[in-house]
Amino acid sequence: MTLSKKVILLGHYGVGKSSLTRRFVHRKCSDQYSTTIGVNIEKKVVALEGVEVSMIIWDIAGESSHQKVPQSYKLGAHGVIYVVDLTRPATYEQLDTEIINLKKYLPNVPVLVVGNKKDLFTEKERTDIIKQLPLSPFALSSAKTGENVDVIFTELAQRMV
Amino acid sequence: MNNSLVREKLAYFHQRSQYVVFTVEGEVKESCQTLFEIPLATSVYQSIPFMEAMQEAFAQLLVGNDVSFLCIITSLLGL
Repeated sequence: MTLSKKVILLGHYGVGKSSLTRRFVHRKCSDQYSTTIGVNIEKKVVALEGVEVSMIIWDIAGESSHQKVPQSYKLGAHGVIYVVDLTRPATYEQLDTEIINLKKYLPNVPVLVVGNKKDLFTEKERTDIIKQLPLSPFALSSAKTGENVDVIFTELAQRMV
Repeated sequence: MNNSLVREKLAYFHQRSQYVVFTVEGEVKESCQTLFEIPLATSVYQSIPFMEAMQEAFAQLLVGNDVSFLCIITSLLGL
């Protein structure tokens, strides 16, 4: 049995949403930055125990608040990955408010908060940054090295079925 | 808007848009095939990831309501 699930990636511009998507779907990462216009849609089937999940990933252009994202992009979403950039406090300072508002708009939809660009810090620095985050992230990731990327998408797939 | 502007607008857009009529189940009933060929009886939900993601939402859309998207980059028919 295959279930289709719409996944949206939200977060400020430049946090690494497209890089995470590219890493997960194509197993690639590029050092070149290109801005997403509108939304880029990718698909990957994830096999869980007894069920396949067709994850249709909506890599949405970065915005400082999800409220600036057109509502149609969020319509019918089954899961959300909210990405922050650990190197830029501006991308997570309003994180708690953002998630509360998002959950009002998408009730009963799992939301995973991810701190990206983990590879740019030492263990000690990471610990200090996590203390500054308004919410505890589900995971810290690196699109560059691939660390935790599969873990994040697989966890979301499990929460959506 | 005067008639010449309407004519210009229609002349511009008719080559840059495609109309596809499909059932609630996603089966293509009609298509003008202007931008891409999608065979009749094909399932739009199986051919276009964007449509697959919207299947549930479209099914719940109330009659008379519409939904629009500003810019979508997606594969079509496996390409």
